[in-house]
Amino acid sequence: MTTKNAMPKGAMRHRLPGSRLSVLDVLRRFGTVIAFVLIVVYFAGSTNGALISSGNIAAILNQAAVVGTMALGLTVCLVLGQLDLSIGYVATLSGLVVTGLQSQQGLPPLVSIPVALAVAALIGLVNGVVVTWLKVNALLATLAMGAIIGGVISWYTITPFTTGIADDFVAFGQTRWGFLPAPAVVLIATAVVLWVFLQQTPTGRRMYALGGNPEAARNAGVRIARLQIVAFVISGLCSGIAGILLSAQLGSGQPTGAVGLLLGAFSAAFLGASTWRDGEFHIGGTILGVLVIGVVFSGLALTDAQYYLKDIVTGAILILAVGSANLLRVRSTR
Amino acid sequence: MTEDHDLTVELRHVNKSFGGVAAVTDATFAVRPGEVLGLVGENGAGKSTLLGTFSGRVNPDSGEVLIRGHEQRSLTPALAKAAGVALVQQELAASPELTVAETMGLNVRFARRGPFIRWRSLRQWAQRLLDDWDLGISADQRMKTLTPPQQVAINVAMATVVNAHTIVLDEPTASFSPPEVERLLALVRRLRDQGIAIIYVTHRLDEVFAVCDRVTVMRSGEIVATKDIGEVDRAGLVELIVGRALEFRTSGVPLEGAGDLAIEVQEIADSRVGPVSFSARYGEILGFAGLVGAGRTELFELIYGLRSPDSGQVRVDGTPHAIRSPIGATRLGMGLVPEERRRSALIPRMSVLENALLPVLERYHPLARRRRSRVKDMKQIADTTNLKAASWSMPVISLSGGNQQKVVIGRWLNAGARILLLDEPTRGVDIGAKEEIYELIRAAARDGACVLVASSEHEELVEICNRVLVMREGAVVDEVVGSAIDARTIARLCFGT
Repeated sequence: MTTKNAMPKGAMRHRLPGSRLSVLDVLRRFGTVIAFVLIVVYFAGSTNGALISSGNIAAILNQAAVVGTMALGLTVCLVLGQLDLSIGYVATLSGLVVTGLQSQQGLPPLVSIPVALAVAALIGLVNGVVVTWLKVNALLATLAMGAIIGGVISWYTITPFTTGIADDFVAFGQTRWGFLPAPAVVLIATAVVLWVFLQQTPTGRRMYALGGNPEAARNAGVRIARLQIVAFVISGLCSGIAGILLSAQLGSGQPTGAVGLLLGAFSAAFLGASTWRDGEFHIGGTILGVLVIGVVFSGLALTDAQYYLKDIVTGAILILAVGSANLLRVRSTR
Repeated sequence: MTEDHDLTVELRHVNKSFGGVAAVTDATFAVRPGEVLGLVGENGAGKSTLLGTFSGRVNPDSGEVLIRGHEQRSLTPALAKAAGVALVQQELAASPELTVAETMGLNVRFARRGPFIRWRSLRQWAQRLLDDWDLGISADQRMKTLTPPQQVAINVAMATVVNAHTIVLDEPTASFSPPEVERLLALVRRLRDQGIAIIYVTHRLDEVFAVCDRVTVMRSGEIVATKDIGEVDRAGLVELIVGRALEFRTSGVPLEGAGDLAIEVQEIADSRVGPVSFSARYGEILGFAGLVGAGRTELFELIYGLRSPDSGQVRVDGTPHAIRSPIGATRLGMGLVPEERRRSALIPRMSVLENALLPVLERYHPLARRRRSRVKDMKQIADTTNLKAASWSMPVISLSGGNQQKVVIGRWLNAGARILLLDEPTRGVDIGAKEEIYELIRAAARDGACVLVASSEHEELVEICNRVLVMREGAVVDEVVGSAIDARTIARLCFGT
């Protein structure tokens, strides 16, 4: 018997099935849900119900559609233990490509949308190849890729594309049925597709296995390289969708469009990871995280908070979400 | 209480158990200044735990630990070091890019002027120490350029400047060449002549007889004997190490009705292993015995594509294959059950079911053409392995060690693996489940699988194997077949006598 076989103290303290949930457990698993409800109640009160008017809900969902789609793609990367910092730039570029092709080349949305998505997916592919085959740390690879795309954007255009954009493309961005805007439907569809992918397909489950224990996954014959590349492509593709949604909402292509949304997407994914499933990234959690952030932003705007509070609050949410999840987590059995 | 100030380290009736399993039982032990005390025993005999009790890594459950006559309670590695007990590990915990002088400064002290390091003094001090011990090392060399023997030597030299009175050398010579061993032994003798006590832990009995004054033998957590080196000969020492009592089967199982050749390994080698050649048939259980560091795990990793061989080849079903990754190995019908199941086999947070089906998840794809039922296959696995789990959807980590191992073995049976590589298949498994895993392995072989088992428990190899290969220092050095397999023979061969 060697010392390394010794069980660390507390290793046996895991929850047995059927045992009662402690307060800590409840906080740990449903903290984000509880926080969401409290935030909604608070802002609904302090804005005299303006927060939950159907027009404002639509506004929140419109914003959530863009950040949320980015966050969903990011979630796939996070599931297998990678991250993607280029998503803000990818979304921006995709928004410019989709509007630029309409505005400058006169192409219909039916052509410009697939091209923009292809560009976004291609960037994801390059990210995946660089991380997997060149073995560049994902943090660096995607940070650098962001800078490169930023340069490409400046080369492509420095002025927004505002003219010659197809009417139905712009109309799509404005359409809403009651409180449900059309872009939010795209978000929901993306979420459903990715949920099925991550939960129900072998590839999705292997991604969780890879994120859970890379060495064990490798020993079990999981194709790590392929999974990583697929994850980055999905992340790129989702950012592409987000960029298209944003440009449809704005009715124009903006050279700085979605760059600032990166932090919001990260906050949403990490908020989501700290709920229900104890530090595991998952689609439902990310959607909840997106809603939390959307409600906070909207509430701040409606209560006439200073504009700079938005960034401060986003940063604080990210730190709080990750920090509190770590504090509340009962040491699992590893 | 009589305090004997002549002893450097003393243990009185020390007990330690981990999770209800006794690691050290009633150990009483004393080390005198200026002696080399050998500590020998098989893997798992309790040597590391015993060392831990006076080097601060293990807190004993009961008993007294004295260092220079002072009783020590709640000892930590730092306190033990301050009290004069230095543990020398083979690998220096140092950044490979640092120079020798910097590393020595970090470990001992930096010469400083105010907050700044006085580089020249540091270098001179380090060089003087290195030269004093005739190590032939420059203080400006980067750590990564040093060989393992040089690292051990520096570690020993550093221990002397912090006024250590007891230096523990834990398996210092693994992977050393004979001249390197000789140089280390010279160093050890010089330390002894300075009045320092050396505790020398080794599997190499040659070194025990070459350098030790006394030798302490451990078996199953107990100190079974401490003898002056003149009182014991080599055969007697092996006898003490191995003991007698064998509870299980006393001889191996001859192979009946073996199938075709499954795997042929030809002259496979890399920096740690080989060249190794062997072959095994379907229906055969082939054991690999050896001491820690003999290269069994590394050999399995070579075969399974986790390490790439420098030379040699592996044939599966008669055809040569270059296996470059576990994916390639699993394609050829192999399955690895690694030594450390939590680290290398299980996805802790995923369910029992998903862990068991992991290699073949595509079979259960909702759109797969001949889709199989996850539940049906899981039931099959649970039945075959006698898996006891309250639910298949709970995290695999909540299972007991034995049931976790059944999941890992069952995973490969379900995947249809025909060549199983089992590395320490019953480590961390309780006695009852052990027997079940043996039966599972036998059943797999009866069903035509070729099973390779690496184990440090010789009784285990006797219990299940048709043939045992003994490895020593990366090479297969002996073969024992069928009824000739018994634990004592294997142990002797492992120690090289």
